[in-house]
Amino acid sequence: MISVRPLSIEHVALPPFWNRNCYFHEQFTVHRSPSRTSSNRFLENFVFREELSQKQCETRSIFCSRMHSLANRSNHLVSYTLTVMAIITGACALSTRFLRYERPARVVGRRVELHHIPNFTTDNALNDFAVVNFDVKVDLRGLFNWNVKQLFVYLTAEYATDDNVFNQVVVWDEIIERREDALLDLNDVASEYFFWDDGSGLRNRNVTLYVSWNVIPVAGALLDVASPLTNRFLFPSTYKHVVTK
Amino acid sequence: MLFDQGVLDELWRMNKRQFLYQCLSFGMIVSSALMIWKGLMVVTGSESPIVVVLSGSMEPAFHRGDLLFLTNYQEDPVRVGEIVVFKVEGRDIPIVHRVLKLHEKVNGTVKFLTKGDNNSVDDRGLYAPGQLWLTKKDVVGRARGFLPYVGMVTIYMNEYPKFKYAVLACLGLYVLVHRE
Amino acid sequence: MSNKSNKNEDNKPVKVNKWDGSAVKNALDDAVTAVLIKKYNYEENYSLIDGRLLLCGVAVGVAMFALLWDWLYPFPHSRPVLIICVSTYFTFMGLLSLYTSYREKGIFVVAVQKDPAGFVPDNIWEASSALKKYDDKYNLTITVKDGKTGNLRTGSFVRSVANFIDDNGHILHDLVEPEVAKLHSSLLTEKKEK
Repeated sequence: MISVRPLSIEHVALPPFWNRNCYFHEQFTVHRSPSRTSSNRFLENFVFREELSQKQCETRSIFCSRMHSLANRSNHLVSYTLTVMAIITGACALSTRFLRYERPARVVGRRVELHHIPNFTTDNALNDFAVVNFDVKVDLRGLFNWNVKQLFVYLTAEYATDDNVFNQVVVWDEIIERREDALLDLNDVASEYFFWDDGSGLRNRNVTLYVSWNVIPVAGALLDVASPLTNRFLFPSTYKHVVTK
Repeated sequence: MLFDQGVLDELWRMNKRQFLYQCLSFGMIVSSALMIWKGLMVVTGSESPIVVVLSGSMEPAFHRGDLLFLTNYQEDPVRVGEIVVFKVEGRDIPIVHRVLKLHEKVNGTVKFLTKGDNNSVDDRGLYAPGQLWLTKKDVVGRARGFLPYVGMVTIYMNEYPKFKYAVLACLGLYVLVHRE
Repeated sequence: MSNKSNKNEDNKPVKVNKWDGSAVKNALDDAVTAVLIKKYNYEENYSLIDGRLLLCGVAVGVAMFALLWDWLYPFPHSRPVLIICVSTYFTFMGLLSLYTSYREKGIFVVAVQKDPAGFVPDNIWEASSALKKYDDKYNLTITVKDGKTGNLRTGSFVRSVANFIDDNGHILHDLVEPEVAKLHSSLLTEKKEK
């Protein structure tokens, strides 16, 4: 048994998983011998350290910090890494939470052709089919920051018919991954997706065209922003091609 | 040495009450996880508030192994361009795609069509035979938040079940044996 | 299981990993409990631990009920039941932490000193301990509540764990017993003086 000399000294218990130093209590030593490297001059005020091998720790019956087994080191290392990564991800997600992603955009519908043909994508019923050409002008370069992975830009056509009170069709979309590609100035673009109506209600219809973008972050909340400027125009009142059953 | 000396000896040394407390601690950890999951279900309104992206059909937005946070508020109508997670009837795997077309009637019934960003065709081929449109009841939720790479753990555990059982067994044993 | 451990304790000393703080604390707590119960023949009162077990058990029961209900009636229908169960569960968690911090306060044994004649009301002995992480100072506090007068007397000592554990990690009961006995008798004499 070791006779003890009680001392009141604060100590800091940081697990030193990068070395095998032991933090021990002064009462077990006769004299102090702190090593004066720069990394522990700060800790010196709190604890006295000595480079001890594990055997020395054991023989002196010193209560050491347990960093001398592989399981311990890997446990501490892994949990520390995961904690730090979680904190950084959370900070990244929060940092762009309150940014505004609205931008002025301009969409102009140029040319529309209406057809009345069997809908080969659904059940071959006779539906209205529109071919739309349009212009898109929007500058989205300012939206890119450290937390934006990509922008998904899409053009929606919105209208109401007698059958369905609310209809939305995506006519065209684009994925923008880099700031340099984000200045859109496209003229007379043809629609990318089939513009089928669920029914035949497109003649003489007021259709609203607007462009929206989906901001996909590196980590955090997904946002969908619609541009406030829309373009309404009238669809033609006659079909270009009609198929009668 | 992975296990400390005498860790199982401690288990034998416990009396009845201490052993019961150890089992209850283990039960409480499981229950806490369960209650947090159920709480999330209630708060978001979705039966599966967190999903892992399993395929690459939404690249480059979502890659395999990304985590998505969903909400499913009924008052919020589905709109085009939103990323929805839906389950096709008869198949258990949730699919994460974007809404392409939407038709809504006066009485509130909605039907919509989806497509993955990385797919060249829309999803009609994925729906149940004879199904042309999706409805609200197929939707598990709408994606609102995103975390990269975190879901890879779930994918590994599902592909290598032995790994999953090993991890769960180790965790369970650790909790049962370690006295606070 | 307890019988076997009793025999083991008599035959060979308890061995712990001396670098594991919580294992050392638990082993020392067990040693102190053994002194109070076996040496002085006090009766151990389990009401404190039972209270904690009850809280835990009810919480786990609520969680299992929620699991079962949700499995029987899939999600949208089980929403009200789930809300009740989740809030109940977390209330119980809160109650449990309050119970552990304020009612239990690190007490690991409650022993009742019964008067063999049956005239004098019992004294209640409570022992609690503290051992900080990566520290070697074991702080033992013993409180005795006098059955007759209702007075509460406290005594404690702070010793390094090196006093009770040898190099191989064996807890030496012969070293624990005199310390505890000293504290115990100091509390008894204090009582007699008063």
